Amino acid sequence: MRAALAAFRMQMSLVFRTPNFWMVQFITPAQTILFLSVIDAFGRPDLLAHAIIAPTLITIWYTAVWTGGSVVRNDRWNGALELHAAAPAPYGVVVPARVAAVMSMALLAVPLALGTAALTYGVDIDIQHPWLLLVVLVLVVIGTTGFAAILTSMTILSRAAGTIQNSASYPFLLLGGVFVPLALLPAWIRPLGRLVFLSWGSDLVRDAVAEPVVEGVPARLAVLTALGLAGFVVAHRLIRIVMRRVRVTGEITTA
Amino acid sequence: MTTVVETEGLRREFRARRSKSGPVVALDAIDLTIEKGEIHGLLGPNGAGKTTLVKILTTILIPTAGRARVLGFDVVDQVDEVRRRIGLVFGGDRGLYTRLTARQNLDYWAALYDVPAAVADTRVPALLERVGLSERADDRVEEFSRGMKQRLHLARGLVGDPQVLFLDEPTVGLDPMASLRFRELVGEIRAEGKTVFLTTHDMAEAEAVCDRVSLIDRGKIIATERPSVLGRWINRFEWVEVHDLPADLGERFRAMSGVASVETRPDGWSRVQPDADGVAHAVLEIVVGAGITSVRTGSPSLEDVYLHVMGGRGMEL
Repeated sequence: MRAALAAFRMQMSLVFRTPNFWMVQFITPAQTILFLSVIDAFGRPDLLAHAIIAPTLITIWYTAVWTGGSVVRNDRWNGALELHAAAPAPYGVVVPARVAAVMSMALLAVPLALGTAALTYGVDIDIQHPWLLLVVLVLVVIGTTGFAAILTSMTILSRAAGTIQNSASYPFLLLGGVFVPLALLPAWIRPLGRLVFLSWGSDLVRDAVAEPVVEGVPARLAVLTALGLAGFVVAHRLIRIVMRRVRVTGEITTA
Repeated sequence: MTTVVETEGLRREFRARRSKSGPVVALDAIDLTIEKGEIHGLLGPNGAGKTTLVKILTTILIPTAGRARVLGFDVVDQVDEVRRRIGLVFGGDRGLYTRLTARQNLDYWAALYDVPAAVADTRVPALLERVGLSERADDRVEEFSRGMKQRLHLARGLVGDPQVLFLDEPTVGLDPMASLRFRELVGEIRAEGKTVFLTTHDMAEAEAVCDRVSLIDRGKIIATERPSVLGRWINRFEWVEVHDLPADLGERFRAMSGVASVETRPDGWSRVQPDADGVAHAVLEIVVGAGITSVRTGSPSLEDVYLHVMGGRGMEL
């Protein structure tokens, strides 16, 4: 636990001194304008909430993906990856803690999206269940952190992992119901989407923003939490396996 | 004496991805023992296998064959036990978070080495003081000179209070003064009873700080000796070069006992290569006595020494 806390603190210090870690936030205003312009062009004011939620979730996702990869890439470039491999604290503990530090800034996407909508299209969203929204967003951030840590294991194995991560993002965002609700996708895709924690999160976010009554909240929160935590468990074990593998192959410096 | 590091038949191969050629052998049949409190040097040219051996002993790499134990713990099967008891320092800028301060770097690694917070609160400032960085403790590392970074590296390697410290080319790229200061620090560490394993390609550095030195080349340890023996090898193979060496003098040297070769290059310089103690001095006396003033001497390169040793000459020293 001490190692995880130290890793979190260290990464927070790095975040404030390294613009790369938070510049991904700039995609939020751009994405918000994009979605709002489409909705405005088709005259669908009932979908305004979607135009704000999608950019928020996309930013959270990309913050995680970018950060997860960057932590390992930077450690490899500056030789710290080998020092971590020789240290007593498991890298599988250190990486999720460091990704979580950056992810703690990901919720900035919410005010950025709301502010952009208000400034550009004069949109004023009346959030139906603000506390539920906050809880769900925090759980989404936690779950995304776990998934980012899973993707990080690929970065340890391969320097080309950035391409894989970017390519993997679109299926995840689609199955996570971020671009459009899962219910609007073809029926055969929906069961797959239900395995992705993000689909539970995005549906709950939309309901918390726009629906007067949200049904099945405890069960849906439980599934979201369970799937999110599963990501951490898988990430921890995967990084452990990968670190063992690169010790055998020697790819810890050359991958 | 207590054996701290022990390897038996250690071998490490690397397989290149998508390569049809066979594996590259980085280490082969490495048998090595290092005693408690010893500064042991691993001396060899680039690509000799020094860093690979350090990585195996520090659990970063797993050997292809053979076994290695550090403080009695197997580096493959008892990884956690080994890691808690060792420190690792690389040369150059590698391994530091340059946008953080020196103190932040040490605090971070102290936590990763499971140093209790209360202990770290005293150990980190003490280490910064020891390596002469107290006044720059809260400056970003990116503002440091290379020598300062290397001293911070050393402090980082000591933050877990290791029993064995591995230094991989620690003075590479440092100016002579910074190297000297670094070597003094290594001496102080030994005085505390810690064992130090140091890799270098610098013969002078090995002689200056090590109790024993292992020569490694192409993945194999050629010999393990005290630095004084190495010094004798160096003296034995010191060469003399003469410009426009008269033919009769060349013949005299060729016939001289203890002269291995006399070779003349197109630029007019002839090298007289002795292979016995004191011969270089005798050659020099003859040259000067003959009134020749275009003369120079030099020490053998590491590779020259290897060639002599590997050629079977000098092993009986």
